[in-house]
Amino acid sequence: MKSLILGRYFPNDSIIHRLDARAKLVAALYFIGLLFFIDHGLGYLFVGLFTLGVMYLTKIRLSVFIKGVRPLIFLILFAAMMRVLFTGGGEVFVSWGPFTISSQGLWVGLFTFMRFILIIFISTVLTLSTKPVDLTDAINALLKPLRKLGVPVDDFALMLSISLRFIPNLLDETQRVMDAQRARGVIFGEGTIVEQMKKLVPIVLPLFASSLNRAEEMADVMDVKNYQSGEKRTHFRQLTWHTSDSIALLMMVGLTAVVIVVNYTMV
Amino acid sequence: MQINFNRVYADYQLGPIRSKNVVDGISLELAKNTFTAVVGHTGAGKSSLLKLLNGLLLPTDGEVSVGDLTIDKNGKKKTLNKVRKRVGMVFQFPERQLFAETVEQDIAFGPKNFGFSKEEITQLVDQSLKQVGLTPDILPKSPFSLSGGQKRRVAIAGIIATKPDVLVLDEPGAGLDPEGKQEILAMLRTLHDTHDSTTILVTHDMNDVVTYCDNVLVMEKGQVTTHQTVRGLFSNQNEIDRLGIGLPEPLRLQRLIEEHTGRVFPHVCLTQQELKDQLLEGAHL
Repeated sequence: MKSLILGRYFPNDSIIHRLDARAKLVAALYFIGLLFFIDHGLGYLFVGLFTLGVMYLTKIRLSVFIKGVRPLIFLILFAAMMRVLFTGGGEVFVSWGPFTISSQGLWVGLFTFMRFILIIFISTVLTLSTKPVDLTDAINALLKPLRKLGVPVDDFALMLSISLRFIPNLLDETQRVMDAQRARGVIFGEGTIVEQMKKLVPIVLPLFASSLNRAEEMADVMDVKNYQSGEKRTHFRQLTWHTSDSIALLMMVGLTAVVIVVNYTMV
Repeated sequence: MQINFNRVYADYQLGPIRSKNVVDGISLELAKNTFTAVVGHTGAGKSSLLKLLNGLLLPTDGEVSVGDLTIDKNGKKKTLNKVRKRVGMVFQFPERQLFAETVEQDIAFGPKNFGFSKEEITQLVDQSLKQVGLTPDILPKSPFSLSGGQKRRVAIAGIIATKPDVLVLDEPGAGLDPEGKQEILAMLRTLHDTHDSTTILVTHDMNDVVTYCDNVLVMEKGQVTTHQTVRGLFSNQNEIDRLGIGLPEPLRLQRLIEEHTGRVFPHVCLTQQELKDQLLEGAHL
């Protein structure tokens, strides 16, 4: 639990931290989309270097990002291996039943691997450098057009920010309950899978109970403060757009241009 | 059971934030069968001190020993489990750990984990239920259906059912009504006296310290600033001022009376009874 990096905010003062949350969110989503259109090694090299540059600019140590990848590395390797084994074409090195290892397959596998790693890196950059509340504000701002279609955007944003707000509490509570059960003789991480699953009950049930309690209290407090959904309201935190945010988006356009050029010239 | 801290340091980690040396080189000795209060401001390291006793937090340096078992930074799993059987730990708001379908199952959870036999467990459940002042008709009920005070008692029963030699409690009275709090503390004192156990109690209330505890340990910024008998500490006003701790109500009243009348009492009164006796004695004069 302590090693979970993705989705956590690291307070710091860097160019990336200061960017507008809307710009970061749009750029990150766009970048992830862009990754799927690259089909040449040179393109991956380029966006890879770009990602490393952005990571450097956050002034957060590289090891933190690596830690974020670690829990997912087997999943990624598995996906990449599947691509390697089931893609034919080019020079064939090994062939066994439906499995082949070919030069084409190796490239595709490498691309898959790169794509996953870069997606994790860039989303980690986004969450490490953006306060969760700013991120919800950004989502709220970007979804605003949907309000015209009758989508309760504000309620959705509120739900999101409340859930994000309580993640640290939940982690804290989990730790506390685990400690309490450990003190009562539970040894976590030992025994068969069934035994280990059974050991989750004394953690999950108290957590459910306290979360439900808290949700109810929260709802009561909101009622008492006369919260009305669907009401027009102003925001306490204001997102402000700077030139650097426009530059960040322009860089995405530039990146797209590079990818297109590489894709069409290096066949 | 004798407890020793030998130059113990510990860090506290919550998510990515690491607080260094929340326990900052503590050496101390808690003698057998003592009832010790741990007081100090929030963040002084009281909870970390308790967790160290139970191996829930491992020292970064130094060692903690409970009887013949020693915990150091390597903390072997086997030793830790033995220590946890020996040291019963009641967390703040212990009712938050309740999970089973019935009160009986919940109390039996700890003994079961520590490998007591079925017959022993039935006996332990009955015994601990009695000790916390509950009646057996509560056993088949769901712990979630009980009142706050009853939940607290059930949770404490779940800990003492494992027959710990050392009982560690983090503000067991917090959030209860004053009466319920006094009942729980009185019960703990009785338990301590009848079982010759070693008890450590974290509290913020000096009245509890003088009413129920023998010794007091004051903590500040991860260090122990004093460790002595309760009477010894409250007899020394300079020490109290230096440590910045509050006074129990009877003593505060005594100081007020002394200030207004100019008459100094022959000794400090820690409880209402003592103050009453002292005042009546004074009235005869």
